[in-house]
Amino acid sequence: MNPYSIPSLIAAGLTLVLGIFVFFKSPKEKLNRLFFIFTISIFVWLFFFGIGYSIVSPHLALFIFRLAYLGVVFIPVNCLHFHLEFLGIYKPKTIRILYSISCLFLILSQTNYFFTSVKRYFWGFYPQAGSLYIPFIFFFSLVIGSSSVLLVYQLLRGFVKGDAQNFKYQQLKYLALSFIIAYTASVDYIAKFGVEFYPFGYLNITFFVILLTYAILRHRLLDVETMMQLFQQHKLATLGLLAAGLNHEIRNPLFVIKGSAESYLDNLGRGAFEPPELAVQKSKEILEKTVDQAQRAVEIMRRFSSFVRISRDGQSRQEVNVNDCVNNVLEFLNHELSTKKLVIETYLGDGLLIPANRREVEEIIFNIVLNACQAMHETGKLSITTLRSDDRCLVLIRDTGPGIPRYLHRKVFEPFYSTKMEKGTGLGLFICRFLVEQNGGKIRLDSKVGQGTVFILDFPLAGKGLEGLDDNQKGALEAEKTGAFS
Amino acid sequence: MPPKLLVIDDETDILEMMEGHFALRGFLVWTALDGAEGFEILEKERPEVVLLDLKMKNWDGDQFIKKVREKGIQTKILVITGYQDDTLRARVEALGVDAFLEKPVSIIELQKRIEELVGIAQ
Repeated sequence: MNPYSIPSLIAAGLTLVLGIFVFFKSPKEKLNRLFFIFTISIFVWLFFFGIGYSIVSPHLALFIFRLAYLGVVFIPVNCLHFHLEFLGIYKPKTIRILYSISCLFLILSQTNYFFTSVKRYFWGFYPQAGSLYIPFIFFFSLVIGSSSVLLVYQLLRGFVKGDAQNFKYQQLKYLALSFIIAYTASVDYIAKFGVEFYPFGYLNITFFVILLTYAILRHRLLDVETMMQLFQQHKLATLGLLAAGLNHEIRNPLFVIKGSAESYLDNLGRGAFEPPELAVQKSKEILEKTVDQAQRAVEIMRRFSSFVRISRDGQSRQEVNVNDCVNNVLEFLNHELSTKKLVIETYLGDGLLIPANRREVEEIIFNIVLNACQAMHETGKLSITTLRSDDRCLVLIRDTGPGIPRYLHRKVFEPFYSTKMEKGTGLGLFICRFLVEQNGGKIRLDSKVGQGTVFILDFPLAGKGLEGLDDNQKGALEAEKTGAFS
Repeated sequence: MPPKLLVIDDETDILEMMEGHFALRGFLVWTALDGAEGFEILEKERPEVVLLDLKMKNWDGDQFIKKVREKGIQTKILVITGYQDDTLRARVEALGVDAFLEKPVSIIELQKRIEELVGIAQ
């Protein structure tokens, strides 16, 4: 075997291994599947080129290089598709057109107008471009170019908006860097025009693999499963806390059901219903009450189990009414809230629809409200305000707890940071930040030691404008703008 | 003179059930939705037995018991709660209650306990 084949084959193998690894991390995630498909294209390219260098017959070599184009023609569109998915941009029509064009090039690549022949260089045979190769290079550069511009634009925009510390931004940074390194592998085309320029593209691909692997391990890129495991861990800890509440809540309807039935049987047994028709009427009343109370018990269980269930329904975003989320969370936390003497106030604005995953938004609010309650000892005030600010939806969750010193403002969002000792998992706010960002929003806090803390969730709004605010909300908005505790 | 019973719970369904049962058993029953309201009735009517829930809006059970014991009112207090919590139980019992029962207690059992406390032999 020609030694020049080896590096290409190794790079091909590494890429495929990474692709398979990412795929099996979360086979259900579209993003992971797209990445896997992308690595297959790269694998096909490098594998057949690696083989091609070792072939002695020029005809067979040309055939092998044409096989490599089964992968190459799809590299640009796979890339773009993956990046759009990562950034949450949906352009199904564009993607479909680009895939169609790629298929067309796939057919063309098997003709003599695409590669006319092979030429012998010091590293082995290499295909030579025909007239149809020119439009392909143009197409390739255009798609890869727009993909790069998109990534760089998103990076700059994130930087300007001050997202640099943001979880997703860190992922984007590594993603952009590794893909841009991979793109430079396309200089391999120079040798297709008769110039003896060694195609070192496999080196870039190897760097690409190393960098992405690092990002996966360090920044949980493409690693939804591990995040989900962390969530599950946190959820279990939270559930332990809430189980006491469920236990208490379910006993009231059971008490009414059991008590009414016992009382009825007792009275029936000693002939207390006089006249006897009274027994029939009483039994009707009691059965009606039983049905009501059983329904109530079912409702309590339903609320609990809908919270327990944890799954990512893909990217299922819909228009979510933030106020409904707030109300559901407060209802669910009713027990936890009532064990302390907390005053709870809500000021909910109108028309607050955000494009988000409903369960995730509830989980965010839930975690913050629970934190706020735990921060306040026996007494305090919890207020939740939802309002519009231009085209944003703000949710302000304010407590009168001990407050968070300034130097910890950033730290509280880090994983495994907890002030609650045995009670906390240290994941609550970390998960909140992750979920907020997943839903296109931002989270920040303002706090003054001794006065309390306000968490501000900031989501893009489905609608726009500033209307439907009452005075309280306008006040809250002002406070929010000027810094609530300054 | 029929024995007087005061039931304090923030759930109307529970109040109705208790009232229905004990009225047929010959008790004079009053009901209240929170501790403050219950205390007013207690001062006026002086019932022999109070059935008390712990978790309520205004005054909760704790406050009610403290207030009653401070005033030296010698009524029997039976706590009926949905909580299964030993520390809570110890704390409430230390305030001076005559029984601590967990929901869903049998209403017949409850009736027997009350009758024992007020000295009615069945």
